[in-house]
Amino acid sequence: MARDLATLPGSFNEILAWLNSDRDVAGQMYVQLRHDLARIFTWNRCSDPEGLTDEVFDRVSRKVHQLRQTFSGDPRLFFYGVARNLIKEESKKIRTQVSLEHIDLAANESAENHNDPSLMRAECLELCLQKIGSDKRELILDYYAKEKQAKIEHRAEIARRFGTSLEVLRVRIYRIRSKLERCIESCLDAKADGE
Amino acid sequence: MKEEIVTDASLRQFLLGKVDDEERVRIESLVITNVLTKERVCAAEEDLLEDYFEDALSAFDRERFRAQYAYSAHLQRRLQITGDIRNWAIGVQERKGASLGSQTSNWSSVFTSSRLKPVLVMLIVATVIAIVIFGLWLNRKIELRNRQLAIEKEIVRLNASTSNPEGIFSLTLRPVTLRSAEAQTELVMRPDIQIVELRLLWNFSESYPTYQAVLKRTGDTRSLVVPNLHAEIDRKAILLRLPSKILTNGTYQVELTSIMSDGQSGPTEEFQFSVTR
Repeated sequence: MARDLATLPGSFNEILAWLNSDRDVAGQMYVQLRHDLARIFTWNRCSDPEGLTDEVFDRVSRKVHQLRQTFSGDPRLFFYGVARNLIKEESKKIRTQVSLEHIDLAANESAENHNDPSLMRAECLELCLQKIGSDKRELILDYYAKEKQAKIEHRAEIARRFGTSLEVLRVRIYRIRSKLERCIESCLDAKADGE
Repeated sequence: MKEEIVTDASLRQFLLGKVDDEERVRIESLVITNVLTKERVCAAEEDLLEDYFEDALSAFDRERFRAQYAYSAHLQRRLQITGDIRNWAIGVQERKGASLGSQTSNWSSVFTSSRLKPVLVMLIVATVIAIVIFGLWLNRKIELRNRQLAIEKEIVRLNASTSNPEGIFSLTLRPVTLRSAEAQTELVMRPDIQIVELRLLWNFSESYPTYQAVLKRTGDTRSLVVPNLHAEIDRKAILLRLPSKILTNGTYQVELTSIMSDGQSGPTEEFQFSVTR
């Protein structure tokens, strides 16, 4: 779990001030940066992306006061540089890695939850689909309606219908999906907490 | 480093861990500083997850994908959610298709399910229509025939009786040869007339056991044959009783034939009258 940066008094405010002079904008950048770093750790097959993200902020917070005076350029790239060092350190450690083929996802989930996980996900999906609004729901339905070869032409057709490119359509779908995914994650967490 | 030079192909390579460190750092730096690049990487990741589900990855890429996505509980959950969304979308689409299918006509379902050629279907439809029309025609013909039989039975019954039932109206007709100078006899039909009794005057001196009348309205092809008619007691006239309902506006002709005891036809007289309703 992410640690609360309030445990590092003073440094959190300095980090925000370094990211942007507008505190509200800085707050948004901070949240986004945490999210992006966690993703980067994930793409680099690091076993604890959230913990490593905390470690990045811990390390930066120790010298943020000095950095604000000396570092030129986008401060987010400094955070990224720290993250890269952590990734190198991680790659030296022995990482236990398993294959999807040998993972019994259902069994793992059953150990975590007494309820049927697929049923819980289906309930959450249904709930979240209602929340995203009919336009987005219809678009995502249409986008994922075809499989394999048929989907390529189908998605090109959707893009033409919207008067946009396939790339832009994919990003639009990603945004909807991302929102949907967050909603499902929260819903599943809430269900797990409710047990 | 420009964002434009990050292609979808290079993003896919990046996600499968197939790029060198320099390219990896370049893309990751853009992810940190450029929202659009980050969204493109994530969209490419969605495509990759889909391809994994559809078994569209090469064996090598499939192995790399597993190596990349197997270890993280977060990614496993994403994988599951992606699968759920896809299954939901495909399921909804299939249900829509099934619903539309059930709304199509029986003919189209026959057409599609049996995969018949359109010409053959048209022939079948034409044959069915012809059978239906023939059935209706036959039904009408049988109905008319039954009505005719019912009338004939009623006429036989009326002419077998010697009593005078209520609503009977008697009309005397002279043979055409004798009344050529006279005006045609007219029967003005009234609602109270149920039975019309035609007194067909018989001018021959000989009398016969029975007589047969053939009634025909001018212009009609059909005629009504009434056998076993008998003469009045004084043998001056032959009585022919008809239900008034069968007589409509027009001119009628009655051909009366005497029938001898051996069944042979004897002399014949012809009569005419008109009906006005």
